[in-house]
Amino acid sequence: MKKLLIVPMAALVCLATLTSCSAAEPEPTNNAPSGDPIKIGLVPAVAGFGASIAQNTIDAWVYAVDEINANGGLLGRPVEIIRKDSDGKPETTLRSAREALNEGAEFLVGVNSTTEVLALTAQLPTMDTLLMVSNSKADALTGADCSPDAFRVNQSNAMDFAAFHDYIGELDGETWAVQGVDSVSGHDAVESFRAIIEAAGKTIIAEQFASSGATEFGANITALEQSGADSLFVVEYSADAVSFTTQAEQFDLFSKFDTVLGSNTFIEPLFESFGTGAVGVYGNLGWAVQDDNPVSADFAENWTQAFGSAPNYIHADNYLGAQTLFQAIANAETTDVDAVRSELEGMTFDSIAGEVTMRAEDHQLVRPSYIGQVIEADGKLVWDVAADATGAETSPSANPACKL
Amino acid sequence: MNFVQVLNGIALGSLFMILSSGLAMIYGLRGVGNFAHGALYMAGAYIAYSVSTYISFWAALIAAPLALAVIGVVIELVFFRPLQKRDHIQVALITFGLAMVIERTIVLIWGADPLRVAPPDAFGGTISVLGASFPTYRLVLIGAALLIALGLVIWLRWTRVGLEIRAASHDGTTAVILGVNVDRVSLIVVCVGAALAGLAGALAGPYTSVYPSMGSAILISVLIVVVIGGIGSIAGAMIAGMGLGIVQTLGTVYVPDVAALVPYVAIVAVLLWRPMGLAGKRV
Repeated sequence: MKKLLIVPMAALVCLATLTSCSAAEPEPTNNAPSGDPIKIGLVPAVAGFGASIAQNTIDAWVYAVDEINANGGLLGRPVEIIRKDSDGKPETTLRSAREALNEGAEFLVGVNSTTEVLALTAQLPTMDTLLMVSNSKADALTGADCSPDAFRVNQSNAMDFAAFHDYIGELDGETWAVQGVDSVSGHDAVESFRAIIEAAGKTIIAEQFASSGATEFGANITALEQSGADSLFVVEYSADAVSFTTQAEQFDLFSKFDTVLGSNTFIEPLFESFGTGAVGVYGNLGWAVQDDNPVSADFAENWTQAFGSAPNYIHADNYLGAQTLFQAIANAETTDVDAVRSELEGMTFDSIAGEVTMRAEDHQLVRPSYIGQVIEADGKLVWDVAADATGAETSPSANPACKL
Repeated sequence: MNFVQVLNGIALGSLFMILSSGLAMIYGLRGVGNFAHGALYMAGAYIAYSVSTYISFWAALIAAPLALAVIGVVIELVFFRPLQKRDHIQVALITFGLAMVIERTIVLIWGADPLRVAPPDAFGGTISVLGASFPTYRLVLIGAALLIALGLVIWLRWTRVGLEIRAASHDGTTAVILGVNVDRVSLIVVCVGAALAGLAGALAGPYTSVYPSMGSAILISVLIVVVIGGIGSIAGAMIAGMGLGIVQTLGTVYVPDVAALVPYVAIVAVLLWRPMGLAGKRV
């Protein structure tokens, strides 16, 4: 008798368990995305020379994905990041990108340097994907090396310098010394600077380049001191920027010039590392909160609430990359690469940088840029915006070298 | 000749001198190219950064070498000693892997952002040297390197341990026969070599800055110094380190387009002239 009861009792217990489990699951809300996730391959360089900006990149994309999932997802589907780290070497980035694609990623984002981007764009035709570029400055990426499968949302070097163009006349200094990094971006930046300086009737009287990763800048600094120039232009990135500024402070170099101007050198993520060495320098600023733009203001406020500090330009550029991609997918109503590409080309939308357009001819997002001066406020370094330039001023036409 | 640039070269050469003497010691006794030496230098810099931030720069100058000496004990007992009968290339590759582990561990603990280490107030600013303004801290670095070099020479030349180290480096088999405890001597050498790397890192923090790739950035130059100086020769490494620092700096000034090639041209030139390096096999 007892054995006859065991089976039905067990069945009842199982049924009760299953029922209670289903009952314990929360009812899906009207907003919760469902279905197959839209996968995005995030390939940040967490090691190597540019590693200092990797976490900013990761934070921005994770934030953007969490935000869109909290608001119903994309096409009603959840967005998922497949993160595959790189060490900054092109071959590693390629391998990581392929791994992400093999795991179902449909789009690639978060790649850091120009070298990595160029290595990827050469392979994109075989990958059936699109690459959103948010960190690389080299003009060639939307110029001679433009790709039908890559779209850039951050400003190119040329766009930064277009913002400098009108302001350079307001800065003190007639004779300039230049300290640049010996890389594609570094030389691009110096050539762009040369063009605007000469247009303003000023001259470069000394220029030198140091290898990326240089330990010692003493020789360069002494040469700059002895150049006779009254102003200094600096293009050094990441750890080089900190090393150069630290050593410049030892020599009290910056005080010997009327103006010190940096191109992507004195960046917010490194302000704490610069200490007081960077106070008073000028530089380009990729993004600033637009108080009259609710999208921009909301982004700044929500980010500050989430992270305890204001977003910097790397956060903004990568978030803007996410906004751009998500908008294109939403417009296309599909994640089909060809359809999304068609939507991206010529797309105009309201973003955290104001109304922006992804230009079809060279796949460059047309957006404003800013000039600022580093000041000390409440014991911290911050940017004081000195001037701005609209998208029409920073990039009035497509790069003619781009043939898509 | 630009006197300030020569001083810049001497400052860089001083850093090479401290780092390369440790590497040369390890190579001379163990016969192993320690590819983790740059990572040890980096570890010393990061430990010194934290100790400087919470205690003082002076405490960092003691803490960093001590910490690295402990790491040296681990390297000797876990890697070098058990693997001493293996091919030297295999052991060198293991040190390469060790370097990657150390570098990644450092990034996980301290993050990837470059860090700033301020020198003590007394060493900030500039000082007049023969009418030219030169950073005080760089002069301190030069002085420290010269003191360290002098201390090493005295230790190796006039102490019993130094005699044993020289004997074991020159001919390990005979040294054992004559009663030298080569294992004990090896432990001392690896500890001191690692401690020197840590001290170099601690001194480098206020000089350059502290960042994740600082070890790999300087390692090639230090390896070149050791080869130019004569593999296993500490005195040779010191002289070569100072020489390369000066030549590299003046190269940046006078031949900037090819300055990056200077270390490689130097190594080819010296090896063609003296294949055993400047000091040959002398310790």
